Amino acid sequence: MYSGRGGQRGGYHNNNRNNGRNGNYNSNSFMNPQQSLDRANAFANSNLVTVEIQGWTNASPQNLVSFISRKTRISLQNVNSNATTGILTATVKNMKQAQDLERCTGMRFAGNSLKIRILDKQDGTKNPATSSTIELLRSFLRMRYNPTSKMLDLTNMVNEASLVQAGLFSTTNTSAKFFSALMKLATHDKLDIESVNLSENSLDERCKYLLDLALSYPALKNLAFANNNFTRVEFLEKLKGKFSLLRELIITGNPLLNNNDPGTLKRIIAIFPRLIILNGQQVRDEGRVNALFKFPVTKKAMFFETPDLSKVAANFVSAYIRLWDQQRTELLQLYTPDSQFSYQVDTTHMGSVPMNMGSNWSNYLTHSRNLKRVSGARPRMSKLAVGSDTIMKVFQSLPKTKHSLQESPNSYSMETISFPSLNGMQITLHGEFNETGAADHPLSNNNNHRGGKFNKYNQQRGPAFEKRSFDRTFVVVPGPNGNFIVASDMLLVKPYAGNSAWLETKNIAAPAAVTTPAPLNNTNPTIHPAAPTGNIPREIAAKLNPEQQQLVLKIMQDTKLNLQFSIMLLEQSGWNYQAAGQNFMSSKSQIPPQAYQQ
Amino acid sequence: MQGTGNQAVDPTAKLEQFLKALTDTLDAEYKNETPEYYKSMILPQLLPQSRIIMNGQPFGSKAQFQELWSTLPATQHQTTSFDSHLLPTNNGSVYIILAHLKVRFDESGRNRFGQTTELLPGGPDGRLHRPLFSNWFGVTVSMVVSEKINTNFNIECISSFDYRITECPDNSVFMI
Repeated sequence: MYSGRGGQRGGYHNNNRNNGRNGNYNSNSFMNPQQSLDRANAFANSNLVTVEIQGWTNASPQNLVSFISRKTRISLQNVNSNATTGILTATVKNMKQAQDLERCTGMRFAGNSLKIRILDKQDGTKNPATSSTIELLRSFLRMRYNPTSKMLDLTNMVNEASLVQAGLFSTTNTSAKFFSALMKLATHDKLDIESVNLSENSLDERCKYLLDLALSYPALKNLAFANNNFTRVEFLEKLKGKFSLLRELIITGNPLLNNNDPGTLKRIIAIFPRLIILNGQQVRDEGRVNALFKFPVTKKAMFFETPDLSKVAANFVSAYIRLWDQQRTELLQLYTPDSQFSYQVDTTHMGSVPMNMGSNWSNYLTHSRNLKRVSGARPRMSKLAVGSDTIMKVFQSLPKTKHSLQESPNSYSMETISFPSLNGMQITLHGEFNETGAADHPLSNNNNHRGGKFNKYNQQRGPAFEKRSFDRTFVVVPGPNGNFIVASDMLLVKPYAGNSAWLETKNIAAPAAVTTPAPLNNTNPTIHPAAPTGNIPREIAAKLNPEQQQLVLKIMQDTKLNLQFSIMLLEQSGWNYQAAGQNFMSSKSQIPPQAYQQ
Repeated sequence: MQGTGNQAVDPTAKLEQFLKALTDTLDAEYKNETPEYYKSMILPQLLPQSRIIMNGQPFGSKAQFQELWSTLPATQHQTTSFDSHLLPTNNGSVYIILAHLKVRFDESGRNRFGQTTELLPGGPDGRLHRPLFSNWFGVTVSMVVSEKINTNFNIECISSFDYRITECPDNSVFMI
């Protein structure tokens, strides 16, 4: 250990760097705080792998980095080059990238062949000095973390003897790296943190602690940084969009509040959209905040207009998908000479699943009927398959697939409604599939002379088969022998996006599936349902309050139910307008004809 | 694929414009009209007894849907992809439309009527209010629309409207 000498070492190191004699220091088996923090940071990003590249010196390191990125889509980080030795080291995201890159050895670059090798061992062995710094940070975290309250109390850590002695606050640089490493270690060790207290740490506008914290714990609920030296509210505005769930903030004892300007508080409130309590004072109505930032309909993965449709549609979809995966030609019997099928591809990346840069869409693009992209009558009509024979050709031109409807029903979502004008039903299915093999009969690309370059580019890269998300809508009608016929079938293939959008949250009260947000401010225009015209007999009206009377009239108007059944529906729905509408829809098939207005 | 001859007519020619007209009504800014009028202009193309489903939940009526949509913060929609089939039925031809859109929600803390959730006394801070939009969510819409839209977009022509959010971004203030 080098306890007690840390401050001196930090200073010495900085001088060394300025003198360009840093190399000598590197050979020392002890590291100064800055170096060990660098390594600790690297440890926390423990997937990072260092690679060494030679044979690049005919061009600049920048040229090499962009060349590698262009050719392999691998981004080189922390590049360290030495033109004299001809060695360039850099880190890549993980071992797989490093191995991919290593395979590029021999690739021609600026008239020379590149030689690439992986420096890090897979066993993750680290320098002893690094390990001791990590252990120091880890024991500090353990000491300050309360797992019960999910609170990390970092109050006055600038005076924490163990950290000071290790020189972690000896320069601005080490102090910045210390916090970054601490946060990365906390996330690496999967500390579940909801509250952080950074009070009394002499923090000012130059420190990046809050940004580091936001990076590691963006869902933080409570944050305090009282008694620091923040002077300008503009600094906090850098945190806009960073702590999107922050509920309570304590910033007392910072110079920025010295002017007692209520405008400053308003600006701070505006930075954190879900902030309810600022310096102990309630600043927003929590109920209204929750209502405003929540889609006003509780998501439900499956919807069937009637119980009968539920059974029919579920059976249809599971049989259809099984055949689509295993024996697509068997589906031919569901299509007639008038049936229509087309598919579209939307490669736009949305949602939380990281974008797959190397995604390959070449199996789909040539016949994608995305009408945003395909214009003109002929190109549009040529991508629409009509009649079972043509449809089968297109089916066989799509990659082989495996859906997991049986194994993982939560990965799918579906809506089924009746389709009265054809006495049928419309099923819309959302979900995912794995591509498992090449198409039996890929369609030739008639427009090769136009799309050739792009397709060639696409075919050369990316994995052959991938997981995709999709949406599909079928209009299914009864056939002459009581069998099903698919009148219209549209498939939309998208980048894989998971199922978080429809996965239902548990413990939601079932009857009131739709929440009714309260009007936000009484002085503003009302957003209550307006009173429609109509009359309720006096003896019945006497039993209802004015709001209930209005609801009854509105429901009568919407549903055409008679007075008695409208009141019954509202009573069963707890006098909630939205819930009544839903209950009406879900029990529509069981409502007797006499329940309606004559 | 279907032979189209030389005189190909594109039955889907107006659909992109129609979709834009629909999303414009979903995203319309509230000005000084009465709230009731504002609500009635949200997707006025829905038929009164249209089947309306949002995220798997049905709505009893067009009015209920409009009521609920008006409680949302400001929105922005963009269609990224769509396809459509024109299907003859016993009641004239209809378009079956399957569209993929992106949507984002204002996270600045106001609903579309300009109401805020703040409790602090005093008026607005004097600065111009600008929406602060969330990251993009993905939405898949499937709907059935009368072919009458080829003559006029502003008629009640949508007999079913199924709006399903299918992609959610990380770290959004707005949640579904």
